[in-house]
Parts: sequence; structure tokens; C-alpha cells
Amino acid sequence: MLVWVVSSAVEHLALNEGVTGSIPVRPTMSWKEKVIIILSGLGVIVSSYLVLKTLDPSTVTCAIVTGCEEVLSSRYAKIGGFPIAGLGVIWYLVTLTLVWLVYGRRLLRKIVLIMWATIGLIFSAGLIYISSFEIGAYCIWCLTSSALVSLIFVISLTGRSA
Amino acid sequence: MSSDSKFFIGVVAAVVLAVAGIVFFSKKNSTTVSGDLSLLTETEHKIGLDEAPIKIVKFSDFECPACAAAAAPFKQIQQEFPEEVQIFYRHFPLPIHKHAVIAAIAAEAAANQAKFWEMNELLFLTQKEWSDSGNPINHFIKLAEELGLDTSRFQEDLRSNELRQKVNKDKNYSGALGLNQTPTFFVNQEKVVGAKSIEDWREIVAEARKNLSF
Repeated sequence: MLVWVVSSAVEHLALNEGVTGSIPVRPTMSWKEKVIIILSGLGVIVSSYLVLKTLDPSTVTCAIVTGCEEVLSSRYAKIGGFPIAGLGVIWYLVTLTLVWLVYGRRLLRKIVLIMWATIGLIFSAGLIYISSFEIGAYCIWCLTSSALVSLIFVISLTGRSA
Repeated sequence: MSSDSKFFIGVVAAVVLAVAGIVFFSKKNSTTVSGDLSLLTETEHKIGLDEAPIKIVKFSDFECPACAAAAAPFKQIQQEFPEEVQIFYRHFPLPIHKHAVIAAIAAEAAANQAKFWEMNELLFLTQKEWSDSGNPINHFIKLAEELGLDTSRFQEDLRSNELRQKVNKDKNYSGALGLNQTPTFFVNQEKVVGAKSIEDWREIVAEARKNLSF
């Protein structure tokens, strides 16, 4: 449904943004869009790793190495049995899809990605807060994911498409 | 196909490959172990027949909540398969737990009066009561009383260097095996990490039986 709505919006705006004569020509992908695609791909990898670690029964342990084990075995690592990192995988996959759908359409890309990246950034900030003040431990991979979300947000915010 | 499409498909393919690699290697690494596995059952803390074909060794820390959760199903699986399963207990007090070593010594002190498994059970059942206290010794003495132990001998044993060395021997062996988390089990020398429910154990034992029949 979401994809359909976005696709419709894309087509509508594409006709108003990049029309050349009667045949709409889609501009090529900018370097920013390529960077966001790569960052989203990395995000999928990192989040998938975190999902595996969360679901791995071996995380029901006490470990010498604190950090990821502590964070991923905490009660905050899952919502109703679903790993929080799974939401990360979904977020990055949607980002990938959105960039693919809107690439080349500067205005639309900005609107859609800024909105989506803001959601990611707020969620990510919430997780860092929980990690710091509720769990009292940091997981390097969770922080990496937060850094990727922040980068995607910053790139989405920046001015004209390069 | 445009170069943008090629780029996108290339990234997606690389991501799929990387995720598949992570799944593959995470399974492989979880069973990696170093050290001499033939010494796994070198402990007097065991339940079951020596002839039992399935030997399950548990490396555990009395102050670890996951070990407390793992304690009852571990004993239950032996009771369900008394002819086939023999269980062993090895100490692996983690440095992050400040009372783990003295708790292990308390279990050894109880073992000197033939009550290792009883003390083992009580230490886990009352873990929350003593793990947060500044000095858990009084609690251990209460447990010893509850078990009907000679408390003066028990207290003397708590200070025993010999028992401390016994615990350290297990701890050093855990280190030699490259273990870094508790509970860690070895099922016929096959490493299994993390607390297991009784349902998990039934599956693990069924798998071990299958392996033995080949």
C-alpha cells in the first residue's frame, strides 16, 4: 500500500518535475542518492547481524564482554518478542526502496527522505537514550547503525542534488 | 539496463551476500572451541550413570541470572533420561560478578559434606538475595544451616585455600577452552551456549541420540 502510494506520488511529481516534451526523462542518480543507497545497504547488514544476535538463544547468558550482549539480552531488545533490530532492517529496506523510487527527482526525494530519515533519527536517538540511561551499556553495532541513520539524515537535508 | 539500475542491483546483491555470510559464520563461530576437551568430565560434581552415553557438562556462575534460569531444566533432563544422560558441573565464575568465586567456594564447602547439588540449587534459588548484598557470607551460612550442614566446618571451608584453588582450576580450564559466557554446555563435547528450557534439552538430547546411532 505504502509503495503504491509512493509510486503514484512519484509518477505524479515526475511528470511535473522532469518533463521533456511529451516523454518524461528520468535524470540519472546523483552521488548523494548513491551514497544513501550504499549506507542503507550497510544498515541492512548491520541490523540483520543485530537481529541474529538478538534471536540467538546464546544471548541468554552472562558474558565477560559487556556491551552488545548486555544490550541485546536486555528487555528493551524486543517488543512483544520482535527484535528492535528488525525494525532497523525494515527502516533501511524502505529507505533503499524510497531512494530507488524517487531518485533523480530532487524535490520529491528531499521531501520523502527528510520525513523518513527524521523518523529514523528520532527512533535512533530514543534507542541511544535507553542504552545510556536504562541499560547502562553501549553496543558498538547499535551505535554504528545510529551513525548510518544520522548520515542518511544529514545527506537528505543537504541542499541541491549533486 | 541503465547504469543506475546496475548500481542498485549490485548494492542489493552485495547486501544479500553479506547477510547470508553473517548467518553462515555466526553459526560456525558459535561452536568454535579450543583446549583439551577430554578433560571436560574431570570433576566429582556429577549426577547419573558413568555408562550413560550422553554426557552434558555445564560451565556456570552462581551469580549469573541466565545460569539460575538454566539450573532447573539442566537437572530435569537428567531425571527424564536417567539411563542415558549424565550431567556434570564446572565452575566458571565471571570477573563481572563480585561474589561468584565465594559462592562457588560455598558450593565446594557444601560438597565437602556431600551436599553440593543441594547447595547448588539453593544458591541459584536465592541468587537475588545474596548477589546484591555487600557480604553474602552470612546468607551462605544460613543456607548451610538449612541443609543441615556442620556450619563451623562450613565456615572454615569457606576460608580454605584448597577450595579456592579447586574453583580456580575450573575457572582456568574455562579460560583454556576459550569460553567467555555462562552458562556454556558441552553435550558429548559439542558446545551449546546459553540457558536452555526443558523443551530445548529434549531436542538436544534427541539430536545427541541420533548422532550416537551413527
